[in-house]
Amino acid sequence: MKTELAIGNIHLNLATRARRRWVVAAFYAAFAALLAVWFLWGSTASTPGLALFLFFALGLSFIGGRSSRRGLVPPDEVGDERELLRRYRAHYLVYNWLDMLCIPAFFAAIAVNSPAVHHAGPAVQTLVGRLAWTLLMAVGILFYTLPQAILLWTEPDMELPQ
Amino acid sequence: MIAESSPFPWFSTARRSTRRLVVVAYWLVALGVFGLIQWKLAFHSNYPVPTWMELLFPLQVIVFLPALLGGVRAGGFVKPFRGVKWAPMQERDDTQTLFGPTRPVINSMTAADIHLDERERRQRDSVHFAAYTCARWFALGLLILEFGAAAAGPEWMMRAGNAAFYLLALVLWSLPQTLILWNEPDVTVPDMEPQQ
Repeated sequence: MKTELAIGNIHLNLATRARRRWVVAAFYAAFAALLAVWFLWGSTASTPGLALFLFFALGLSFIGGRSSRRGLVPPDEVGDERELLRRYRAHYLVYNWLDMLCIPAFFAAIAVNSPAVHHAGPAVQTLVGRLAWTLLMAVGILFYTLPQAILLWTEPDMELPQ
Repeated sequence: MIAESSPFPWFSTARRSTRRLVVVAYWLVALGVFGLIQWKLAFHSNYPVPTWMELLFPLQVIVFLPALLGGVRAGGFVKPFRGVKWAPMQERDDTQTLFGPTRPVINSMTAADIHLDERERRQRDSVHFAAYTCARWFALGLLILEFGAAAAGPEWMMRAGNAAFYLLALVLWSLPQTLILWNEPDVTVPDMEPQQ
């Protein structure tokens, strides 16, 4: 796992767990803000959708993991036995919650065509439709980033390289 | 990871070939039910507004079908991933099984099926890692399908959305158990042989 984050000339020490947790919190806060904008703007509009996609691609590159060579978390095939076990464990933990994460999006998708929403008028139907897409996007973002976030969140303090 | 007590006492899953047959049968049934639901919704329903019964049936399938494989629940072919934490069930003594040896039996399971040891926990985690990687690609495929359906029209989007949720839930709840049952080598515990 990387112990330093460079943003231009500013170098942030990420060896301590507390700092890594701040990074994870900021990462998801940024996604939450972008999803909120996407919801308010209109989930079918192309500009916020493109912005969300670009930020998602940048976010994945930043957080790393999977087969990505870049990012805070090393790729899946790199690491010793302990790191491998921790990675497996993180994926197991997330896997248990994936179905639960899908449930709000599932019910929002059902609600789009429910009689109650139909009777409430097109404005409500549009809002529920946006909500379904937004929740689906949120699930997708968590699906791709949560194991890496758990690793960053739980890895104990590390020593800085000499 | 394979449970010693099979959900069907006359049916042993000690051999890998038998387990693979179980997996194939399971997925055939699951996909058959999926096809049935889609057919029902397409031709015998007031779609795009499904009734509660039309929602209830797939939900029942998603909840109960993966339980047969085990893992997500106790009593299936695979040991429960999280063990059994209900304390009163764990405090019972050895029990005489019908026409069999004396074993510590808790409800319908042997004591060995209640908790995973260290090796099994590692195996469980690594299988979930593999399943997660597969499910991620599968979900991406479903999302692309959903975008395509959205372009075709709202009714198609609804149909594709329902199908995608059903398939994703089924895969999420069944894939780790499927991988375990498919890959685990033959088990040589004599207790797992069907009793005559």
